[in-house]
Amino acid sequence: MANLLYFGRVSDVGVDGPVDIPSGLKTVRDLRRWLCEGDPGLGAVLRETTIKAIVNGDIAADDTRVSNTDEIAFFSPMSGG
Amino acid sequence: MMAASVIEIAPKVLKPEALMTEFRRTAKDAGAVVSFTGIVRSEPGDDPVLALNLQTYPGYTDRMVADHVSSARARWTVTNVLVHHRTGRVEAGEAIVLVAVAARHRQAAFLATDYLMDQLKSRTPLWKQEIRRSGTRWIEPRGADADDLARWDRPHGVGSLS
Repeated sequence: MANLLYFGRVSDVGVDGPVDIPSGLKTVRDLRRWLCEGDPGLGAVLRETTIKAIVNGDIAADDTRVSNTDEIAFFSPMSGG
Repeated sequence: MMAASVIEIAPKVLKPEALMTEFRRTAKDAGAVVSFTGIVRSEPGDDPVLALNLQTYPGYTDRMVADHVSSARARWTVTNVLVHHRTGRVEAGEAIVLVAVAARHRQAAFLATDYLMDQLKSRTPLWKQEIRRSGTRWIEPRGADADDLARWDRPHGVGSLS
């Protein structure tokens, strides 16, 4: 199972936890689309272009590969300081 | 000269004066010490900010701050660096972040401090929520923050000592 985490605005609509990624899904883009389809509340935020992904601690692109051994975080723009 | 970095990303109350006294004690050979303290603004009025809440990505946030400190060290010759950033709820009027840099000369200390603050604001896994009586909202970067970040990417701009 992959571990999914949500930060920023996405954490209002997503719940952190393990997710069984279907074998046909290969990329961040695929995963995102699948999550949006499964949960419209989450999807409303997740489909925004300002929401990015981190896979196993590295900033990911839409075509970054994902698998069931990964930790994947979706986040709205960082704001610290 | 010993070069030491102290990084703490934690919920506990930040006491800038005590931390700076200790920092100056350890930064013995520095000719220059620069520090920045960020404080939660209340924005007085009908609906003031009561507090901020800082969300982090445990493990990853610390690693990114360490990377930013390494980048600063690669660009400027500095000795001691301190970064303390609070997480969780921080009340209006309290310090949320302290960055301090010691160096032989002031230009490196100023530039490294400024650089680290810009990285903390926009390139560190921290997410800020503003808490008011009317409700809570997520803070997203302003256009000015993006401009601030871009300064450090220009080849012979403000980041250069040549």
